[in-house]
Amino acid sequence: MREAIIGEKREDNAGDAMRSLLTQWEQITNELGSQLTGNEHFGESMNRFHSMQMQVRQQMQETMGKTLQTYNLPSREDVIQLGERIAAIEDTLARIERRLDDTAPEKKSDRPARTRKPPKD
Amino acid sequence: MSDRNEQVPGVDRMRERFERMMLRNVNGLSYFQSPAQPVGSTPSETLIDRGTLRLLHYKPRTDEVYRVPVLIVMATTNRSYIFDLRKGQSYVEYLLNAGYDVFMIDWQPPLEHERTVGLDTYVFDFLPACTDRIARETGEKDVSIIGYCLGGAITLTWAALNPDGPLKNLLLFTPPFDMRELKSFHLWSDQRYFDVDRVVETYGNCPPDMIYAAFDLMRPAERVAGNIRLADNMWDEKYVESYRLFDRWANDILPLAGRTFADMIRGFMWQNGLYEGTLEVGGRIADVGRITAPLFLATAEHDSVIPSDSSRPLMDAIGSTDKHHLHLKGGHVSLVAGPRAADRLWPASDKWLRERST
Repeated sequence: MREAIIGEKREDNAGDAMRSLLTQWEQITNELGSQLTGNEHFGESMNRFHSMQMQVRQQMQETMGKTLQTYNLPSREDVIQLGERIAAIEDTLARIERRLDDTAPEKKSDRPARTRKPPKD
Repeated sequence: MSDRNEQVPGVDRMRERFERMMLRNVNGLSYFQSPAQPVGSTPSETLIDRGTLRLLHYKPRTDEVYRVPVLIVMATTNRSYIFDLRKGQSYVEYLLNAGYDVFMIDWQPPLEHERTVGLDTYVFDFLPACTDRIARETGEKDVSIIGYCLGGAITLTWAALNPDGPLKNLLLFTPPFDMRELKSFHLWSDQRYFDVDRVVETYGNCPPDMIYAAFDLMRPAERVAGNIRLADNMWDEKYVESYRLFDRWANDILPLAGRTFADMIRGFMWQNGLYEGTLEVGGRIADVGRITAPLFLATAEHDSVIPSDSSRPLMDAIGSTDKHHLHLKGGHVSLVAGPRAADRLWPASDKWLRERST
């Protein structure tokens, strides 16, 4: 029986030890991450990487734009322009809505009274 | 049989372990199969729905509310449902039950054409549109604003440019103020290497992954460790539910409107304009020293996104004389929405605000 208890305790310890190890690993790795990203060269290298990504993306956009034009399909820019026109219509509607709101009678009946006082501590 | 178990103490422990193992399998399967839980379900009415701006008004829950309405300004890069995760774990619900009339700006992802929306649009259009609409809805010209994270920085900018505006009370939860303290993000956006115009030209709106890459690199073990802990606690339904909610929110990130991103990089990061008092928006200088509304500032001890050292200097810089700083245990998200928030930040903010809301 004693062995069983010790064995059980050892298993508990193993579980707790695993969790503790995980926490330690997390702390150390995050600490390392902070040190690496806190390095001045981090900004430079991250931005070099981003710059490369953007270059690839821009080249792809250009190629794709030409392909879409060939097939007489709308490009991203065309869709953005359409979006802008819809937004302009939405803005006009919002202005009309605001004017209607301004002229509408105030619905005071369903509003709670604004007279609440803080409870006395 | 039970007598036998009492004689062998390990049996109960083994049974518990077996049950947990079974629950891990059952919960593990349901984790991957069940749909996401509903979030942000406190009843509300949409008052403004214009592009990236959406203003919600929550249905009051008490017969009598405090005179001054409350507006929550969420970070523009995150979903607002962090304040309304589910029944019993919702700051919105807490405020409603405490007797406030609550409004919230629930930012929507900016569309492609909204890349031209700049910081000036937030400050001179979106926030005034919301405060005007709230005034019309409530008949009150005063409003208390709760700004979270980047929402706090936008609110600060607006308040600094409108010192005689409708702001009655200002509550800021982990707002970035001294940007030098956002160390990795500061280095990531280093002016010498970071071509912000090219980013906007290439992507239009700034992709969320780009913003969060710096934070992820700063804490590379967080996701892996989180998943291991999830597997370890898979038997615990409450843990799994909570993990799913927070994980969903953490991955539900919004892009930032292109010009806003550029304005923030230049004004907030490069100039450190809020802190230095040099931030120029729409040709005017936003000086927080001109803000006189009472301030409640909350920061978190283990905030790896906005370290408290970034927010703390606001206490000296702001013009308010009635100001209170609450520094609590917890991280950037757990401060406002974790299980302990209901015992710490929520009652503390209510206690401070109710005295100033009549």
